Amino acid sequence: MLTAWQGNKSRLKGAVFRFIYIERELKNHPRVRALCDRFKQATVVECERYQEIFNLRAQNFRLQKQAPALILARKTGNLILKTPPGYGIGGAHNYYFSHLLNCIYDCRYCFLQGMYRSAHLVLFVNYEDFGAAIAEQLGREPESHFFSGYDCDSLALDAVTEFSDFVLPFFAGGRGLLELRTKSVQTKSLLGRPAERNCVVAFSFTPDATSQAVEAGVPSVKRRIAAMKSLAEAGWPVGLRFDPVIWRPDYAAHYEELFVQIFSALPEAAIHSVSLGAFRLPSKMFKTMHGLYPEERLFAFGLAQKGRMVTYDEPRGETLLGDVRQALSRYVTSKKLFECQDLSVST
Amino acid sequence: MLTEGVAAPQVHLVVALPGEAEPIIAHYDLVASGGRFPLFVGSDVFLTVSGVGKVAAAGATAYLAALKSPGEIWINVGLAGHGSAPFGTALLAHRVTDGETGRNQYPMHTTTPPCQTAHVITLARPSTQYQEAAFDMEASAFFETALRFSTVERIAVLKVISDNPFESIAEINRARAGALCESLLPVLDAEIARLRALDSGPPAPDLDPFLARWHFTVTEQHQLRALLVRHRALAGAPIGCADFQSAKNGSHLLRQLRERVAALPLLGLD
Repeated sequence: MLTAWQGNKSRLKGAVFRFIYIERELKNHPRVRALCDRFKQATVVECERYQEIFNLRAQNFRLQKQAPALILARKTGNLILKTPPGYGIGGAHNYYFSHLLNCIYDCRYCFLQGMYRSAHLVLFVNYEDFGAAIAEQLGREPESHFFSGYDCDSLALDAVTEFSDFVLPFFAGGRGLLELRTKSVQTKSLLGRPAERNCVVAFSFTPDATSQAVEAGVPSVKRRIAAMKSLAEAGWPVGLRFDPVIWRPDYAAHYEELFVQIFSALPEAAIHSVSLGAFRLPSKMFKTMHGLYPEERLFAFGLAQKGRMVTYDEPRGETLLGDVRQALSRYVTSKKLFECQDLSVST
Repeated sequence: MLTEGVAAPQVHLVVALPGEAEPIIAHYDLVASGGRFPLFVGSDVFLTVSGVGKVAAAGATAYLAALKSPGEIWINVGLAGHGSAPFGTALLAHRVTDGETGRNQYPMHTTTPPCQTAHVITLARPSTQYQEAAFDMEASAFFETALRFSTVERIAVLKVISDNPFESIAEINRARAGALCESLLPVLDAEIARLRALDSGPPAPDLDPFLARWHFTVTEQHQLRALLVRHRALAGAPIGCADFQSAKNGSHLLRQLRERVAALPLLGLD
């Protein structure tokens, strides 16, 4: 049952994957065989390396986003990378990894639209190599924090990828910390196993009206809160991510309503961490995204270039973040509140 | 130059042989227009007869692009051999391989294609060493060249099977090629409709009416374009020349447009 795609059905017009591209060397890989069996209706196309398709210059992200293909590939090179400075939830050693590139959701502010030329989903099936890299890093720095969901949604396709089942044992015994960041309600695999105290399931939120306007395909705020509550009740540490914070004329009322919704469902004690960050994008990415969606209101007002970044103009940006921070402080202690100040991107 | 100002996305067809092209020319009421490569022109469909082989296909594709502004729909239509597909089968390429270099390209079908898709291998000369792929002699060069003028989602390779282990390549003649390509027309119609329906967002603002009436420096033209885009996003509708009757010159118009954009209510994102 591919429930992650059900809520997205209208966008994907009923098709799950029309095409699956596989690197030739992987055609007999057990995960590749299993995925091809699962998506029997898909046309399977062999390629040499996924970059032949993914990195092609002359392609249109917007068109592909309407029905992305699945590309099954092997990740080589550095499998874990240091996070940008300022990114983290209190750890001294922060890393991220990307077993999946791109996302089934279509959030208009997402930097992936500006970073990748293709909207196809690339799943790196050599999980064991990711596991080895994580284990090696944990051997060097046992307190390392790992962030999944930087180039994808960590859980939205978990029913297909089964990656969380694979990766969680590497953090058994309280070694390190793993953050799974998501906007999905795909919690079935996590709820089917004992909670890991050092795996934070972090849910990203914008207020409901904003989400409906700029987060196509994302489950409603209500459903995400319900999913988060189920995880918290099962003992999983949950995180709240308000990054990016999005301006609208009536933002204060909308964020207040969102916080009431969340914190009336979830006791403060269940919350591992809360982070917030401004809407921000490298100007080159912003230019690409604006070119893809020139009719998008989000890009048409209140933004200014600051150095190499595009973010809200002042005092709009400072006021917005300050108001949201203050509203949050009524619900969570400052020890749990982190501000993402990295000059990287909005996801 | 060909006529400008056609609303529907223009379709560029590259066909190797006159016999293959004839039913297509008749179907779309195309008119011979001369040229270094035989060129046939309709209101929004253009066809060139490239001749056989990769060099000819690349040359004809570039020639057609040079005559028309790029960024539109490109389709290579023609015959192909195949190891198992029956005679007369229509196939769209999902992978195109240059048989000499091994270089691969991948036409993208972001909406449901009107027929089966297949691997197409472009060979330097006809072959009866059939494989589980279609053989042709133009597709890879056509595709690689068309990619300079459009994006991968809007370029297609449509083939009809003319020979296989049971139907000899020696049987192909002008009449047979014409009949096969005529049988392909419903699929070609459907593929053109599919590619035309691809929604890549609103077109860029039309600056021509503004440029015809006022003078703008290059920098001012960029500013004009950005302001028109911004106005359309915020107001939900484009704004035209008629709204600036009182503008004395380009700078004055830009000032008025800036004021209009600034006065638009910020109604949120919905």
